[in-house]
Amino acid sequence: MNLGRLVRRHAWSHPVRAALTVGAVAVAIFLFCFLRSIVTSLDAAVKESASNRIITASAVSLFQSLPSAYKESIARIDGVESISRMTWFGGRYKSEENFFAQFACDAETVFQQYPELVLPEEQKKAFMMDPGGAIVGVGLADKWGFKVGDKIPIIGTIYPRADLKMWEFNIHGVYHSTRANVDEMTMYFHYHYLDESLERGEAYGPRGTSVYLIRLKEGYRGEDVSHAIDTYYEGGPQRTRTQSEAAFQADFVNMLGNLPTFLGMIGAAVLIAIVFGIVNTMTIAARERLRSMGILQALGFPGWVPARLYLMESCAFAVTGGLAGMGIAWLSQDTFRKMFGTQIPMYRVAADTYLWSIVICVVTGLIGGAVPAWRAARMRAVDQLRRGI
Amino acid sequence: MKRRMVPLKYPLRSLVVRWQASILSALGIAMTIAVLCGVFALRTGFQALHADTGKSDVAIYLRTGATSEGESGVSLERVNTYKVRPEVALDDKGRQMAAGECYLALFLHKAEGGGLVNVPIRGIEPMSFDIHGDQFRMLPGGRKFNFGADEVIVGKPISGRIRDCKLGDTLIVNVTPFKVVGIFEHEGAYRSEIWGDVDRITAALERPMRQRVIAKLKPGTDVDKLAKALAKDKRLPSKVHSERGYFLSQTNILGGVLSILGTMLAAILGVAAVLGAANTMLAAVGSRTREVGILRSIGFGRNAILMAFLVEAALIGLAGGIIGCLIVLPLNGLETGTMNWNTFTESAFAFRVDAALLTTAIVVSIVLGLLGGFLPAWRASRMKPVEAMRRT
Repeated sequence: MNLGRLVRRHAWSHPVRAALTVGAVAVAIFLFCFLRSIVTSLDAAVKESASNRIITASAVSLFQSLPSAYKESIARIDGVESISRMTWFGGRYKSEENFFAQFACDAETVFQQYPELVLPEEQKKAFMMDPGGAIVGVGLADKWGFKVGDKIPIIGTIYPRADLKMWEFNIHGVYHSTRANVDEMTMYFHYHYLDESLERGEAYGPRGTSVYLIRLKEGYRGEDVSHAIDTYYEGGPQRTRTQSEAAFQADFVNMLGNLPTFLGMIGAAVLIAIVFGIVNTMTIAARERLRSMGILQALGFPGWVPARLYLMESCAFAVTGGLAGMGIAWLSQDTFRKMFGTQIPMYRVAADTYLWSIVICVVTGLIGGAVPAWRAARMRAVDQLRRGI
Repeated sequence: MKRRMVPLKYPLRSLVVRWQASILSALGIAMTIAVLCGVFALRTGFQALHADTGKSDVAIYLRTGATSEGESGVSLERVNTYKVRPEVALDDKGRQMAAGECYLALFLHKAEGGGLVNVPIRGIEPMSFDIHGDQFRMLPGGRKFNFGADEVIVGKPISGRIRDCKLGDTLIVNVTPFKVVGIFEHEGAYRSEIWGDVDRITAALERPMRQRVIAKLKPGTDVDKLAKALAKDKRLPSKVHSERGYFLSQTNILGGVLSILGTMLAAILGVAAVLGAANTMLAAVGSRTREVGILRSIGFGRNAILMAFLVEAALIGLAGGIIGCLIVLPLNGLETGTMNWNTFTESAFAFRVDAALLTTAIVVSIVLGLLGGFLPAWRASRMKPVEAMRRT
């Protein structure tokens, strides 16, 4: 008789119990994948950042813009290949609770700065030609149903219009992103449009640039150029902090503070809960199977056979459940990307999360099987036969 | 035989007899309850700090469109227009109880680790102290800053956590050094801020605009009516909240995220816990088939059997709920900091585990137990006495 077949028979002897156990593990593993993916997706933006780009922002505050005049003086610093401006707009779509990111950008240079932004040439051209034009990420377009040719109303929060009406932008393109460092949940429009509206008094708000994006010349080191820029503005009027794109993104992740710790604690609770679940099932199974295990031993099977059976059965439950949980996590990626698009635009379950899930399942399975296995190994066949129900 | 219930002793004792399975499934439920309570204790603490401390008779004037202070901008000229508005209360010397304040979240470093955090700095006017009244107090050892001087006072939770914010330290704001001359405590969300003279701070930041006007209102002022009137005012387009209303609006995103996260996690973990409880009860019923047969044959009805097993399941749930609450209880009052997603700033507050949360937790745990126990209990109650007794 081969052990595998016995394990299968045992596992299926109570189909309802098997299903409940596998279901519980599946749910827990799915939750583990989800929680871990929140953290890894945020980190992905840091890891995939381009190395030939540095970003200059205010050293004083995230919300402080830099004077527009910095563009010319930064461009003259040695090692700067090209420079582009971006300003955080902070508007809301139609009503206050509909938030997504909007940036006013230098349309002439943004596509050179960000080769990650991919959209058809004719959409790009149409966007360049229209001062009130905009492009949106494919995630954003999916979420809100934006199409090329739409005119979308945006409430100015930092930049309200003097006539108290909403801003209107014409969608000319929908972009895709080739890397995790550039998300697909953002709208880009013309820097000049915003700046001129402020200049003419059609809108209020602080003039200036949130960040300068700088592409380095071949052979220059990011740290050296950053240092040169920051030294130049050390005495004001606004101090700058220039850093690699990766460091810039990492700052945002750091600002989340204790969030990763909280998620980790919840994840730990989830893992403990599955261990309890498996141990529970296996203890129940073992109680019911005392007699049959006694018979096995009485028939002459060695004493380690019941122990091995329990371990194998427990692992079978855990791994089956785990595979199901990973399947759910894999299938639900799109849904979560839509749900948490503004917070975690690039939600994705990373390969090593699946790997960790498998490891956890095997370990949980072993723990679950170990309890009855240990007991079975210490019991004599006679006692098992006697005490069995 | 009349309708007779199985004595409570029966489910209780059978729980004890199968103590391992009972405890394991109770622990599964306990984990669910702990996660649920933990997330909601965070939310309750955050909201209590913000919502319960804002005053209804204090108005906050922002520029139209702005959803928070950080987005607002009010020129000096407009500040003065607000100050003389008819709804603003006068103090006993006949002065307008209103102040123009500036606000900016500064990049500062954590004291340990050195990571960046956004810490709000607020420039205030002398009248601001009067408007805050007794919610604000200085801690011994320091003093209030002098108006006109490059000095600041720092909220207590910030002082320990952020670099250069202890009493006697020098804090560089843009390029200007400010001396930390005092530590303050505030009952409300302002406790996570740095305060100084509005003129000195706007000068140091090279930001001449103010972000808001705060004013004590005359008794009987209708803030909603005022907000409606000023929203459409062409000369002075404004967004007006009561301080209480403003704080409430500021807790929306984080509160919302935590509510969704907490409910979702509890729902998903709850499913796993219910499956575990169902397993235990199924085994309990299965191994007691004969007992059920005996109970039925000595005259207990189907409903009595159903009830007995449901009570057993509910007790498992209750035990899980109590353990879950015990796990979370030590969190109560624990100070933590997390980012307020509205303002992007670090906000310090304490977990709050209150009676309402604990009650909900216990109710949820019993419901989880009942959900898990229903199918097995139903199965037990449908057994035919003779067959049940025959089976081993």
